[in-house]
Amino acid sequence: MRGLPLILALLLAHPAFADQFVVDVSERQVAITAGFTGAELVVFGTTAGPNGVIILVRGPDETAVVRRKARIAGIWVNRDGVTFPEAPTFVRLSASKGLVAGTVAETLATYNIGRHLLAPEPAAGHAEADAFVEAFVRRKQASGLYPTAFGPVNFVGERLFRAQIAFPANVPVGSYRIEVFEVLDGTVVNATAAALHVQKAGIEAAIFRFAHDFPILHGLVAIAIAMVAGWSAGSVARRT
Amino acid sequence: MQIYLPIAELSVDVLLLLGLGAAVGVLSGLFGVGGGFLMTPLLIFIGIPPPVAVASEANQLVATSITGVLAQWRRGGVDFKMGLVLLSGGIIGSALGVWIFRILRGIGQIDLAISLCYVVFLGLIGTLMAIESIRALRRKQKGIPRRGKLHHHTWIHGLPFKMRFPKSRLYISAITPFCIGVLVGLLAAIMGVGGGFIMVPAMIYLLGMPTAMVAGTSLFQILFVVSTVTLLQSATNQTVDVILALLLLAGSVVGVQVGTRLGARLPSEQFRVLLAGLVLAVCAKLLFDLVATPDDLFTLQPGVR
Repeated sequence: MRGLPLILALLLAHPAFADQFVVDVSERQVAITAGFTGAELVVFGTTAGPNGVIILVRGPDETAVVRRKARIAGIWVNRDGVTFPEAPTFVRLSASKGLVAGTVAETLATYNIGRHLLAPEPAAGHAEADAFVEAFVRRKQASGLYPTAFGPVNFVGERLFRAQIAFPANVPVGSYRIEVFEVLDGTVVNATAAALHVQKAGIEAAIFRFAHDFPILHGLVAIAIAMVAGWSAGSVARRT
Repeated sequence: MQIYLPIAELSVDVLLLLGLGAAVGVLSGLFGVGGGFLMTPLLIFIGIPPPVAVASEANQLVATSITGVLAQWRRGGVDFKMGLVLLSGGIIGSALGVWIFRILRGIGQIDLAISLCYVVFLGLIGTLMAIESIRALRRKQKGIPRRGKLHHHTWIHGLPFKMRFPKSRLYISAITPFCIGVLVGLLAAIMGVGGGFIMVPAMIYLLGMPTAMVAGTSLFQILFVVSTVTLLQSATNQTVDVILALLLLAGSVVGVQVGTRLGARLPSEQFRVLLAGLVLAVCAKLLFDLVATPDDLFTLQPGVR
């Protein structure tokens, strides 16, 4: 990562990139291993002119359900729910200085980018769906998977930019899409995208895949391991 | 040191899990209980998703109960015929339980069902234990001898399908142990417990089995029921986290030895009162969480298939 400014400087100096919008990311893969406590990604590049940059990182979509509790006989019970068929599991936003106006949603609407990013589309059928959309975003923010604000995009000079994007320990696995927009006078003048894979690696990945691909065999192996462990513990205890 | 649990899909402190295993293990050793009824709620308290906590605890109980069964078997304390009748009920009960579990999970009520089952059973057991142990303490203080158990002849003895259980010297209807088995299987699947705390009193008071046979036979049934639950949970819900089970097991193996040794030296009556208090405290915490107004009325269930 220390070589990054040098690479960028060389890029910028090269005539082919003289006034082009060029973007790259520091990693193409994030591996979740036993000791995983989070990861950091650097998105860097050059803008075509002295303009602003907005970066959207979007995790894989999934179907999620938001449920609302109600008090029944003194106990809080899940009563009604709204399904979100295609909600992004993870979102990160970054913007250079001066581009953010109002709330995150208002800013995204201004530039007409990241539709449904912080307001996923609910399945039809609930009169108070808005409250559930709000709750969805609030719960996601509480677990650190959705942002509460834009992170910074830092410029070195007029055209060289870089942004650090942090992935927490509970980052979902799957294919990520990183979208970078160059903004001039409130309109997007350039856009590009890159892909990122977040996946379990090592023994965790093997166990997870085994449990999901061969659930019955996995159950039998789990029993066998426990039996051997219990039997050996017993025989050790008997000897001492 | 953090470790990423592959099925629970979160990072947990290894020492915390080993410590939990050891602490519950000490209690198991002290009181001769399986400990599932304490471990599962504790796992839920530290943030393990309830479905994973229940299924992984069943997996850990396979290991705990096989140690117990082998020890009892050497002593001749297992009535295999009775065990098999209990087990046939247990397998049906656990299959039913895993199926109910799946439905409740689908409609978003599984966390509530697990909590409610715990509140009811912990409350019941805790209260009975507290009364029993306080009485035992009083008897000891006053020096009154323990009253001998009376053999009541109730409607249970009038049921059909009578069977002979030579090892337990019983001639009773097979329906009673079968039904006890079904109930214990259900509890094992939904609550992630062995069910010894229900089965042992049921075997003594409902079946009238000799005490020497009770521990071994109930462990025999528990071993197969928790194995069935592990297999079924893995096959239908993919919620068995072997890494979690092994870490808890490693802690509990040490804890049980410490507990057994402590138990031989400490006054057990006083400690039974403490255990009853602990059971009631866990029950109260779960009940409080159900009754207290949550910070956010909305909950999010990600990854619905």
